[in-house]
Amino acid sequence: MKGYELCIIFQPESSDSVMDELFSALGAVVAKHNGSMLKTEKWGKRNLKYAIKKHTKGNFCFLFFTGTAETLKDIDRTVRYNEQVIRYTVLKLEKNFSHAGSEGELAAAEASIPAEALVEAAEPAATTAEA
Amino acid sequence: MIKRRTQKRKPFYTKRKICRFCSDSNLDIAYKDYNTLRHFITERGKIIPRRISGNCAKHQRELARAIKRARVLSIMPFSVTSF
Repeated sequence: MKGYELCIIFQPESSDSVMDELFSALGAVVAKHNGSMLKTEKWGKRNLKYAIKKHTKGNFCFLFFTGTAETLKDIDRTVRYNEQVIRYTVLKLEKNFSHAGSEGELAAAEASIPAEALVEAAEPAATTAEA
Repeated sequence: MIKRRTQKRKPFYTKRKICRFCSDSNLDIAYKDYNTLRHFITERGKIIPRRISGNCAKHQRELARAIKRARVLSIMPFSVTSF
């Protein structure tokens, strides 16, 4: 598993629900290939330095995930045909993730899979204790 | 005659420039960081060569990569035609 970063620029008019819809679809794609979503960054609306498809503003989003070459093919297919997306790129993250400002997150994510299962198992117990 | 001219010529000195990224470890090269990258492009949007900026080879490579990535995402301009 390698770490990747997907950068998406949405149309300036696109709403949060449209973005979240695509994110959940992407999350499903990543999960299908046994990868995991690490984090999502939303910059909001920003001016573009040059017009893309006649838009001078764009909604910037960054998704960090782990996956394989197959994941990337599927992600390409998902994002390419979304009309709300005006530009996207996938970047390979450095091994230690220092570039993304989240050092060792890849290792942490891989280690946290059993931990997450533990949390999920512990949660119902907590709610019953409260009740 | 020729000998005399070479003797008169002053030795040519250049002040050694220091790489900004080597001297300041807090300064990071990231393609999302427009405010750092913009110091290394001209008014026209071209990447400043390292003989002018004084960057070391390693950091110039990283910087050029970051600027090119930023250009794809319209964070940096490819070219500036109006001032």
